[in-house]
Amino acid sequence: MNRYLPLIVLLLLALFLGLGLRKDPSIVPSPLINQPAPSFELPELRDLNKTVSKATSLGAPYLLNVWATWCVNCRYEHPVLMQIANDGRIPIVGLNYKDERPAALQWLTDYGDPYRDIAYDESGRVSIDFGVYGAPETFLIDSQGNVRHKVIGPISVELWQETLIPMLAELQSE
Amino acid sequence: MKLKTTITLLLLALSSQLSAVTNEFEFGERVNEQRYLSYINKIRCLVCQNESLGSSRSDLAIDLRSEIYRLMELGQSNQQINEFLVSRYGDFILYEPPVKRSTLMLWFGPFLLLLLFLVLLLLRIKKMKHQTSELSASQRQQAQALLNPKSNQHD
Repeated sequence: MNRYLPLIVLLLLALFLGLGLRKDPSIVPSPLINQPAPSFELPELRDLNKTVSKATSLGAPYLLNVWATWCVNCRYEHPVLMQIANDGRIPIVGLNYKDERPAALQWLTDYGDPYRDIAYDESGRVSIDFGVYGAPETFLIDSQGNVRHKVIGPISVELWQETLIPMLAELQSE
Repeated sequence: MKLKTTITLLLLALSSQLSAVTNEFEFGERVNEQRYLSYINKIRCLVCQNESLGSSRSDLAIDLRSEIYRLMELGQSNQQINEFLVSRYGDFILYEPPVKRSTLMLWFGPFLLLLLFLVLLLLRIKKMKHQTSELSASQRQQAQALLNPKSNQHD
């Protein structure tokens, strides 16, 4: 027994290190899950005279999608957002993060506009309240304004179908 | 000579990194420079996780540094600023996470392992001591023969 102890310790260590390797360190769990979403009030990107706020978005679940034209993965994610918008199950509210307005408007003309509202966070201050550290990030927010889930990185078709749709069904049955 | 130049260059590179952020803000009575610099070096930059907020040049790091500067200007304590950051980004942003249930292993795991191995080592030493003192008669003879080859030679 004693002879094998070092081997057992080594195998245990290998097991834990192996499990550690499988985790993606760039995904940092958000402390906002199951907490009220931070309140915000920002100009609407497409019409600066309007405002988008937490209050105007209450009443039904929605996705809050953080995006920017300088973000390569947002371009990659965009067709999936278009698909979600066409599906019509849940509205998408955009949070345009530290972007240039003309570039953002051009992006919507070129690739399509999946957003119900777009909050224009030019300074990035509201995004700090949401704990954004890299776009794209997407929050699933329920009808009371609580954050229920956070996707870090682009939403894939699989993620939409296998994770978000079931979560949404659960939210709607509450 | 060559080595000396290399070392000098390396040190220069390091020092320029460390001072990358010192001239971003004005320091004086309201915000103490030493306090600010030591604080931002204890915060992780989530964009480039192996860098502190103090040494990172990412956009988010720049924004967070100015936010921290602003909070210090408002007279908030380091503890209050920690809470501000943790409520948004989680404990991971602190290089020294607070001691709580989920971080107990992180803080005390290494000491527990050290203790475990010390106990194992002590047990082992004890066992070895026992073994050396218990030589059987024939073993004693063998040892004698090896130590004094002359007296025991048969030819």
